[in-house]
Amino acid sequence: MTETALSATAEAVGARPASDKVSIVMFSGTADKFIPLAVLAQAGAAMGMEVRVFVTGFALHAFTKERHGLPFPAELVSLAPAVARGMSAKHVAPWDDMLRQANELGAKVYAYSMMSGVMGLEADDFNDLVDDVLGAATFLQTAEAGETFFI
Amino acid sequence: MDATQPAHTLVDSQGSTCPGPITDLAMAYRRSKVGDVIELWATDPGVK
Repeated sequence: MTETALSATAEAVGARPASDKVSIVMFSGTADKFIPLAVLAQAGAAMGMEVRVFVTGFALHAFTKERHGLPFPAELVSLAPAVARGMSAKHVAPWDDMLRQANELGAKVYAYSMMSGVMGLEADDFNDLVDDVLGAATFLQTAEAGETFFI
Repeated sequence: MDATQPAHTLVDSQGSTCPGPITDLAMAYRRSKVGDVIELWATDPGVK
């Protein structure tokens, strides 16, 4: 694909040329990583920033219609109950509710095409959190000149 | 309410944790018109 065609694709998914944007590559599939994802996405969207989440790797399973329980990394398992109690006490919303709120404020979530294929996932397998299935080149064009986080 | 008069909206985010208050503020901002005043009440220490 030519650079012009890629720019047109980035434009089609709503990319802004300015740097007031946050792009998040969501790769990890463990429960502890989904709160920072959701907090960054919701805060950025609330601030009027362009927020784009690119889901790949093991994180893809968390975005399917068939709900998967998210595992905690072994070294954090002993801390997980206390964190869960704390979150409940502080009325912290579940990560997917936060991401839905971010979406309401304009954030977009994309599944990465190649890894979706590797995991046997089609566009129809993803839940309402996922806006589209995209390739890496489109994501890089979208993320250009903004802040990018890899979680 | 008279649509031509600026509105004063109270957004009560007390007890809501970050990024709840700024999200409540953003939602209220979206519903507001030029000249409206939005007052945000929050208890999260991240809200200054």
